[in-house]
Amino acid sequence: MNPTIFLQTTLNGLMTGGVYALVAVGLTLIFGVMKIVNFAQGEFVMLAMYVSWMLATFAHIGPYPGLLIVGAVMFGLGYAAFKFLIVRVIGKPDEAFILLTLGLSIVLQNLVLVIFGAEYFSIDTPIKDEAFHMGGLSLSVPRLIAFLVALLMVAGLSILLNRTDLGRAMRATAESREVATLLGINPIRCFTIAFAVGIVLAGAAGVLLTPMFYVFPGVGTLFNLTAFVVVVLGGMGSVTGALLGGLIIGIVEALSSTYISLDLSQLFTFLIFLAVLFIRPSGLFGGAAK
Amino acid sequence: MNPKRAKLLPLALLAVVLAIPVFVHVPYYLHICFMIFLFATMGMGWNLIGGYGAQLSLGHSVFFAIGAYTSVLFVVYKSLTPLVGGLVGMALAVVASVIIGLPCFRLLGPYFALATIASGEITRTLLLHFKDFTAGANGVPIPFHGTNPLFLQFNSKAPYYYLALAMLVVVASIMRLMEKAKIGRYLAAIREDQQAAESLGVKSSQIKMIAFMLSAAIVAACGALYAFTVGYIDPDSVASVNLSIEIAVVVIVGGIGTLWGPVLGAAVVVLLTELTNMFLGGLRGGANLVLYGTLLIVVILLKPEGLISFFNKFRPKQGVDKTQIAHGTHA
Amino acid sequence: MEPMLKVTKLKKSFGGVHALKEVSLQLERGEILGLIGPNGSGKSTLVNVIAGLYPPDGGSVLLEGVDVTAQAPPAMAHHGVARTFQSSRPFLNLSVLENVIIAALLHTNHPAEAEKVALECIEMTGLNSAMHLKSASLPVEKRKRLDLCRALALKPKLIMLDECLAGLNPHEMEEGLKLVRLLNKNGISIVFIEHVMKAVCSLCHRVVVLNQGELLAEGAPEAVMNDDNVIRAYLGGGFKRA
Repeated sequence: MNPTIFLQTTLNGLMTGGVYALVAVGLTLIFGVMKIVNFAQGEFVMLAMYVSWMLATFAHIGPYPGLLIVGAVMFGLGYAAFKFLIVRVIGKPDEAFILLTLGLSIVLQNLVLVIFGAEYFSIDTPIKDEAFHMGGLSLSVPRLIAFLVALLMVAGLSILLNRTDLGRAMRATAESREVATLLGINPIRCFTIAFAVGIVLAGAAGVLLTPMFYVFPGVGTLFNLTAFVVVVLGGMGSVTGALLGGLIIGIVEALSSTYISLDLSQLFTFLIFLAVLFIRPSGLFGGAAK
Repeated sequence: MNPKRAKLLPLALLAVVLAIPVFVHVPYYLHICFMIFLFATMGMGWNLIGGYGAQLSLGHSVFFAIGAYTSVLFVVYKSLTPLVGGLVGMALAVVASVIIGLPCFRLLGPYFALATIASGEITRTLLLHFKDFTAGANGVPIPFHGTNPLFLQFNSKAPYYYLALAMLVVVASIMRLMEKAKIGRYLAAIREDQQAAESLGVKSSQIKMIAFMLSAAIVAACGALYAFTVGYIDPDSVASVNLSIEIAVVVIVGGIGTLWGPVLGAAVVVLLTELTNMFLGGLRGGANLVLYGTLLIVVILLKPEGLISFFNKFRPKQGVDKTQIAHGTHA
Repeated sequence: MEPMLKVTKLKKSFGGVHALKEVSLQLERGEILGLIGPNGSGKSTLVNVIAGLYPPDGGSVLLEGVDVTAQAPPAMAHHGVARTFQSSRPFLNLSVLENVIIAALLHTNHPAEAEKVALECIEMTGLNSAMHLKSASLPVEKRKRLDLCRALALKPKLIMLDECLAGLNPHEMEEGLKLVRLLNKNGISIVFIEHVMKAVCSLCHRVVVLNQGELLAEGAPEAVMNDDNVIRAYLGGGFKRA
């Protein structure tokens, strides 16, 4: 086994894993605070990719400069989705939000299909094909940027949750809605922010992915499934778990597609998923799952 | 409308439905009816575990695919009639349901849904991967050599129409019998409050497993019939997540946990899909799915008990208002 | 003759909370045993562990000499143990009759037979007028009756009643007590968790007091009620009975 190929594959997987972590972190935040699994998370990633593409194509703003704009747009979309849809199923049985977010993902994916068509778009950035080379390994610049920004955002989220009043309020609401209310915290406000931030994180991931992935309506589904696996592996509600889980899945996927078979790489991701569900449903760092 | 008249309604409908192919000869319209019957049947099967058993499965495409591929491959490799191949497919689907159900039932709602999605995707990946056996992404066409009932080969749509209708009638009858029998009552109890049911001696894991196995067999049979009606199968048409979701949506829109909900839901969803294709077909594909997703959202938010609840004044006392679930946890 | 129920050194913790710390008690056949104690003393946990909802961390439960420790609720129902929940849990969308039929199906596979048994139980518990009503529409008192009716339809040897009189006015309570006595007369042993001391005194043969997961006192109702330790447990230190 060629050590260079192994290291290269692992490195690639690590970098992609960082972005998976970013999508998953949004998902885990939403679940952690409101106990809702957002089955449409991947579609928000996809939306961000389209917004990014539009900015690049019509306003000539590249993905990286456009990150803030896309972030703001995603915040708005997340806020709207919450206010009009999600808030109505809080407190209802599981099936309600599963089906609601599923319906949302179908609508978003196909709305994009109707408006933009099924063609694959791509964004041209000057650094798209750049890479650092060291010791026989090449590190693609977009991948590295994605990884670093992802880490930064996860760190930022961690600070938000642990060091700010808002974060404390969100964690209190996650623990017990009733107690939080007694403490003067407005749970709905916490839910709104948690959801919107979760969507912003998904959006950021989408933007960071555009130099590396094609933009097409179904791209969200790919990330949906991976994000779920990452969240379950890391533990629902755990930011650290999502980060680690993302990196692990990124590496596993890269290794299995290089060494076993490209089309079976997703299979391994799912097998890990099922294994975690049966052996340790709470994941690496999670609390309640059963 | 008094209850006596209400009982005659299904029979009247049946009479009308039996007569349709006599007057309607456009294959496309008969195909739409076929799809309505098929989804109604699959919906009823799904309802057993997703409605009554309260385990939201988003992986029933596994059973559809097993039914389709088993019956088709038996014809291709062994020239064995799908009447037998289909039965084998049903048996294999039941085995698959045990493999999936046993470990998965103890998972909470969203986790169970995710696990079933994963099983569906694993199945699709495997079907794509083992190309030498399943022809992978190319799919398997069923060669047509002229009318041959034993191999479900007919040169008009009408026989398929009647086969699907027969299947629907059979499954509906089974559901009706089950509703009043011990297992049906136990399932209703599990849906209402699993913990309370268990305190009354209901072995919920066993009962749910039986429901799951039966639903798998029903959906597999539908997969086999579909394969021979359409004449071609491939992983993306029979093993996709979208199919699993559509089966669930048919029941949810129609009325989860009710006998006729799936029939109504199938009619609404299939007609909506086909109508939007007809009128908005000029637009790029996907318009029908937008409507369908919107329908799902609207039903969940405004009428979670399904469209059938509009007809509830005719029903005496069973199967009403499933939104009132006493305790939301089924673990 | 073996006791109906023999609980030995039962332990149960949830995370850091020791809900039950080696509780032992015994219920004789045909006895009505009162189980009292301040809130949080572990009464419901004890019933839940015996009924199989949670496996104990230690100790054993014997039913007529047979070890039934840690058996799941459906198995316990088959063994002849019925229980009601603190807040009524009828199958809301089903009628009273349908609710009781489900319980009666424990002993038969034929709904027709189960219906016969159900009708008898409904008669016995005075729910005739409500038989075809959706149980969601029942007031608290009738819901409590339905709980008892379902438990009765299981044809149990032992019923554990968890605060079955909560939320009832004095008249309804009297009716409730009559019903419990009727069940007892039909040969069913009863564990009776209650806060209403008058009811406990008038109904129970013996009383057991739980406090902070431990057995505090045991004996005849009057004696136990007047026990200083028991009074202190309920009212906190510093109170003396007048």
